Amino acid sequence: MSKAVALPDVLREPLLTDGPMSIGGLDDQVLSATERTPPRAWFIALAITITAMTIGFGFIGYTIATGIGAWGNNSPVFWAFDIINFVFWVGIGHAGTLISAILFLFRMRWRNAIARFAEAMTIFAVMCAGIFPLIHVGRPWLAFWLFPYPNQRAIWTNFRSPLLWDVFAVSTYFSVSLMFWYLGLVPDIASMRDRTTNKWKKPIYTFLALGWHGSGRHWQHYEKAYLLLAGLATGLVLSVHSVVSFDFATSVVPGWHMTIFPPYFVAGAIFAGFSMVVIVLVVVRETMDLKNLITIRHLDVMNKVILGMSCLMGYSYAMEGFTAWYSQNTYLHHTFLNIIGGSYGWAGWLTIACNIGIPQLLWFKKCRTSYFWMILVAISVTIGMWFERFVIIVISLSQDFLPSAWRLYKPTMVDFGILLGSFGLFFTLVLIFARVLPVIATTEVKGILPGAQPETGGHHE
Amino acid sequence: MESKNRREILGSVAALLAAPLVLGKEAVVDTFFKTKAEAEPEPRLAITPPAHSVKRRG
Amino acid sequence: MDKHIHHDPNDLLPIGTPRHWRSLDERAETPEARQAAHDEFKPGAMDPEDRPSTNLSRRTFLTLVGATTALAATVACDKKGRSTVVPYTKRPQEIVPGVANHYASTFPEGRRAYSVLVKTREGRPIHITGNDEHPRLKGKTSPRALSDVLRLYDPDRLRLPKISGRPSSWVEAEQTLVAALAAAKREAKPVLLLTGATTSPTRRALLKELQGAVPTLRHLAWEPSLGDAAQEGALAAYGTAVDIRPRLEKAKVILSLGADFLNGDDPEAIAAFTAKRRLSEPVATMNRLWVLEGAMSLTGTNADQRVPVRSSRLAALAFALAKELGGTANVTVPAGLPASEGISTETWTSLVHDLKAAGREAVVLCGDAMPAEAHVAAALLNNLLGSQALDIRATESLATLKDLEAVRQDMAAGKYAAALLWDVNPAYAFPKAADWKDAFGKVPTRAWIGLIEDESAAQCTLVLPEHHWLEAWGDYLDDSVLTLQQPTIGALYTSKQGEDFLLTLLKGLGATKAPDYHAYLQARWQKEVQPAGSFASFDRFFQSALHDGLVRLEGKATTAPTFKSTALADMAARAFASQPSGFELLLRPGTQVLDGRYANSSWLQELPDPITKATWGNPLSLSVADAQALGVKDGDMVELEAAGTKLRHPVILQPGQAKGTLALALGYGRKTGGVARGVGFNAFPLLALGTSDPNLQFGTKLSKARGHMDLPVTQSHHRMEGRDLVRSFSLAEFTKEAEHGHAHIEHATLYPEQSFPDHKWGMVIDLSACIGCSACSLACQSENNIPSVGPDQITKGREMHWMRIDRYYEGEIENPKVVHQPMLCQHCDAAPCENVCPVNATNHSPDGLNQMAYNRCVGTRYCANNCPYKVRRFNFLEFTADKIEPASLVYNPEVTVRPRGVMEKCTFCVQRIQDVKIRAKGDNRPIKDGEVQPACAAACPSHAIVFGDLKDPNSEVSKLAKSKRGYKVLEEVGARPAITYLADLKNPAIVSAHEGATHE
Repeated sequence: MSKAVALPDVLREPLLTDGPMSIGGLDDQVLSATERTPPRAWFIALAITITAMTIGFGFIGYTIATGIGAWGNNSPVFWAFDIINFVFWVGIGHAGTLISAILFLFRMRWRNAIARFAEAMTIFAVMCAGIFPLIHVGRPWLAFWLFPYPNQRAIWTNFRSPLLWDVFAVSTYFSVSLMFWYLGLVPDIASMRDRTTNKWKKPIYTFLALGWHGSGRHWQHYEKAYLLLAGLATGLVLSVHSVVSFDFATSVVPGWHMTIFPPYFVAGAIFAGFSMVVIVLVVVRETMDLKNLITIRHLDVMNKVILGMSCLMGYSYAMEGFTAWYSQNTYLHHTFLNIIGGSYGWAGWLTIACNIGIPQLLWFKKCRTSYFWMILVAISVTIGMWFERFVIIVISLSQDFLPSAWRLYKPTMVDFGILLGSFGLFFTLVLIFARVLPVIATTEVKGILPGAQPETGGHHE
Repeated sequence: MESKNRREILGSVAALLAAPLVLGKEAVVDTFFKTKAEAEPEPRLAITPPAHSVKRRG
Repeated sequence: MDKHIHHDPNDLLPIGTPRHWRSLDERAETPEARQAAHDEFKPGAMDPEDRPSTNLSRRTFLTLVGATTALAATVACDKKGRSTVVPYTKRPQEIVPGVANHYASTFPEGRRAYSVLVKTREGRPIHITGNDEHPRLKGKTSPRALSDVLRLYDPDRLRLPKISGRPSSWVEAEQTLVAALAAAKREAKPVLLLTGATTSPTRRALLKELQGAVPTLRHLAWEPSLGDAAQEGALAAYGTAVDIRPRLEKAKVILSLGADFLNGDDPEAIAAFTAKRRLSEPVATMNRLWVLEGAMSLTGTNADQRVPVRSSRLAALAFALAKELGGTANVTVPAGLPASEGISTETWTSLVHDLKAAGREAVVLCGDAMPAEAHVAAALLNNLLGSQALDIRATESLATLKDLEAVRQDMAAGKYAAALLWDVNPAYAFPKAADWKDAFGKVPTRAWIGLIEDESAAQCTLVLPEHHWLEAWGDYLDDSVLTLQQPTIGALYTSKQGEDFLLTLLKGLGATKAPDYHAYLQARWQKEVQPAGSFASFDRFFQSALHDGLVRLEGKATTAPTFKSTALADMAARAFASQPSGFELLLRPGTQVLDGRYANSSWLQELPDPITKATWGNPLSLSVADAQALGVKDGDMVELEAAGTKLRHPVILQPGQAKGTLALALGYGRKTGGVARGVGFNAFPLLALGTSDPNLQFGTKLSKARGHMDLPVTQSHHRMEGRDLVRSFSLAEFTKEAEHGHAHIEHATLYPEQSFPDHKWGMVIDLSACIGCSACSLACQSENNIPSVGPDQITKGREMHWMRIDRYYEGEIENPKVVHQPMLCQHCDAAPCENVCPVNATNHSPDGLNQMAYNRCVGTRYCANNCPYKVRRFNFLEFTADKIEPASLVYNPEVTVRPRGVMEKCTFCVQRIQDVKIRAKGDNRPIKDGEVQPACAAACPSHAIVFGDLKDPNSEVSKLAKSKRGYKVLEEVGARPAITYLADLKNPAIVSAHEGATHE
């Protein structure tokens, strides 16, 4: 590369960290969080999330002992909170993979500081999501029949069923994300192994570090493996939620049977996922004093993604309305009118307001960089995206082909309790992760510190 | 034919793998944990045929 | 209650048979001997006490040791606990395990007797159908008859006689009562015997003997479900109480004045009525049903032309009609009729024209609960028309509320020495129940015999368990057929049939020598029923009669009572008299529970009312206009003021109900019975005691109250929303454009077409024949072990019926067209449910059925979401009574009882298909058309459901499927259902703008 040309400000890549930062200082700042006792606020927060989680698991146990009748599901609304929550959590996981994998392939180096946490959130979200297919079945003790294993009854699963595609998609998503995340963790764990003097932690870190020494060959293998997994995971970002959307799109239910669903769901997933990441990162950068690494510019960019997704969602909603009219299909027509004007019309409008209305605030840089506004938008999107699945699942099911079967759905306390429990599980895992493993991929950030690369200006091959 | 053999072998293998799990569970449960139906329920109702009725067809 | 069911096998022997003792202990009747006798043939002979003392049973030992042998054990079975399977040591000859026995018997209800066929398995009755030997019923019966097998196993059944609350014996009870009767006879004090209606000639003979033995016996036969007004009308019109049987095969025009003859209670009338409506070609000969009524009835929903008119005005209109037909010299019809009742000239003229044109082929039927003057007017009309489409027979009068009130007063005055209640419940059904109870309490000896202890039994000192009719002997006169009732199972408990009890009383009084009712019945039959000069021995004759279940009484033509015009002027005056303002409340027997006697049947409580689709209760029906004026919706509470009482009650809006009227079902609000308690509201206190028509209460006030109740209804949306679901045409339209049938939409499919080598089962449902009685739904529940889930679960939307009847309203809300559509699994060839099950629990059989593998289902419920017809049912909770006796005894052993978490749906009665296939294979012959009868098809009184092999071009189903009226529901979805529906045909006199194929 020849001498760097002086680029105008707007084209020059912004600094990825705030303030001076050395490699050793980075290690100290990030890894020390795992070495010191967490502050009291952390314990209080953990107590709350564990309580929520316990309540949820209690209700799950009650459901398994009593039956799905403990929920509000009925005929015709055979799926409700159970599948809403499943889709919701799978969707939230998509942000992490997009940030870790896709942005890696696009060489968007600002993702380095946030990729670790985002990917961790993906894994936790998929764990939360995975609970629901297991407990929503009428006989959960037989849920293992959804896996195709050779058995002496010579019976296979039904590969034509979208639910089975879900099994493959979600388990693939989980395993690939886990491998990808773990791979990235290995050098950091090695750092922790080298730093720690604790007699319990040393052998654990040694085991988990898989003998990492940071030699040239290790780094070569690392980079190759990372690239491969990033490539695999990239496909998953688009495929997993598309497959989840097939649960609906391949059915005959009016309001579900729409070809727009795969891209619509993927966009919605990224939308919801990024919002959750924003919420968590705001808390993390403040409480763990990582403002110089997770900079306000990171948040700004993520908010721009959220805004972009919001516009995409707006387009999708408009297309749904247009399709309902254009199709001249009386059932689809009715479903659409039901969404905006039926018994659950309030949910339809809430969805639109939360997903399209409020996020428009993010056009303003002030909102994109202010905690209050971005968290307001992020929470609004989380609520809106949950309700979007409610609208799709419950409203379409409650009034489909035969009016004699139309009926309303009312959730029960058990439904809410399990939803609460899933949030409890998610945040418990997040809190534990924050104190047990490095929340920032020090390896990757070291690679983007000023002066880290041979060429000046921070270009990276 | 080959697939038929394969299926049988696969079945035997599956049964071989599954058997210890299933049987072991039953053995342990039945030996050490009494089943709940030990509590004597009401005696079964006696079903007796009618004495002088004439049936239509058996 | 006694825990040990003491069932002495000696009780089966006829009374008086010398008993041989098998041991000295038995002769001494020691407790050990009793226990030994009890235990001798007890099922489950290997009691836990008999097991070896080690914890290791033989079975577990083998499991541990013989691992290789045990490898053959299936892994996937649901092993929830262990039960022992023990064969008979001495098999009763009657019972072959796995083979069903059928017995002919009779289901008695009020004034009717239904000849039925009872299917038993392993000695237990499990399913009831009509008796195919009956010349007119032809194998059909009423919905309540189908359901009553459940009550045999009602857990609340009384099992032992009780005296003053403590368990006792029959001997003691009989001695007590005989003593009381003898004393009453001596002191010449009256004794009350209160029973239901008696249609049994042998029982009547027995009662006559009892009357002879106790001259002061006062016997009242009371049917709370039959209104007093009908009898009063009959007495005025014919001079005697009458039994009117429609002969609709001879009717071209039928006018119903609030008469619900299509409600399922009269299968013969249903068959006759619908036979003329199942047109395959557009022809002009179709009967026409006019219905004038206040409250919507099932007959009203099937009307060709319906006019909502307040019940109190029906008589006036009928007299006006009579005037038009030229009959009533001494009756002045007020000016203004019929316009004053909101009937247009056009409608009136059509009605008059129809009646005149049909002449003796017209018939006028009047509803039981209608006022006496309406019955007289109907009789007058039939007389003027010379109608041949009905048979009128003189019959015995029943007790009226006035009679009961007189008895009550006598009881209060202490006149009665003893009282025996048999199958009646005055403490519940008498309007002034509290007064009744006070008066009844003054009778020194009070005895009650019945199936389940009820409100009246609570006051009685002697409370005696009665046989269920499935355990009892009897004969019943039904038209010109004498039907027999025989036990289909040995008595489950220490009960007796009422007649046997009366016989022992007679014996105690020294008045008879008959050992038991069986012998008594045979004696009477030998004397009076067996044709004189018959060459067969009586035994042969009687066995043959029991086999068939009936004998036809030839040449017993009784002269019909003649119409008397003496009371006409009075009745007409009553008809034209003005009524007080306020709402007019019609109290009619519940469709499912009748007068409350069936309130403890969970099947009947769960069966949706065919019109309102309400279950588990009796909401107050009011017209939509009145509801809007009051500002109430379905389930809102109102305050009803009637008969001097105020009560809060939920309403249900009824399209088509006449303005200013209310309707409420009797038979709810029971206080006894595990199922019945607290369900609905007891409306008997609202009867207008002391008036000529207690079932019509005037001057009722209604106001909106606070509160709302989510009604347990199975259908909450009543419009078709412009969708092509039920096609209903007028005859004129059908004649004009004959082809209303198949849309012929064939979608391409990605999947390879399935071939059906041998059979392809299909079904045709004729909507012109379906009247909505829901017998099919009940039969399906009985055959397929479908659980009842209770009101809470119904409200949540989890009913389990595999077969449901969808009911839609079309047109204007004040007088809508109503259509019924039985909806069940369509067994689609391209079933949306089959693709989406992740575990392959549902797939398509080689003979066209959509199969459901219960043991494979994990319960993801995707199949139910993807079913466009929403006919799949999910076991949200553990709904079954599996292994809980006696309720589990009603289960059909050929059908799996589904556990919690499993999806289920109609299987086209695959167990019956398999049964027929096996028989045909065994006989080495092909399956005959019509040999496979799913429960619904077998039960449908109008033959609306036809099932058969679509591959056989000569089968009835194949021919019907090609009908010009044929179409498939939701054909555009592409599921390729196997069920073809035939469009409903209506024959209105006036084709209004709302008639025809428009769907609202």
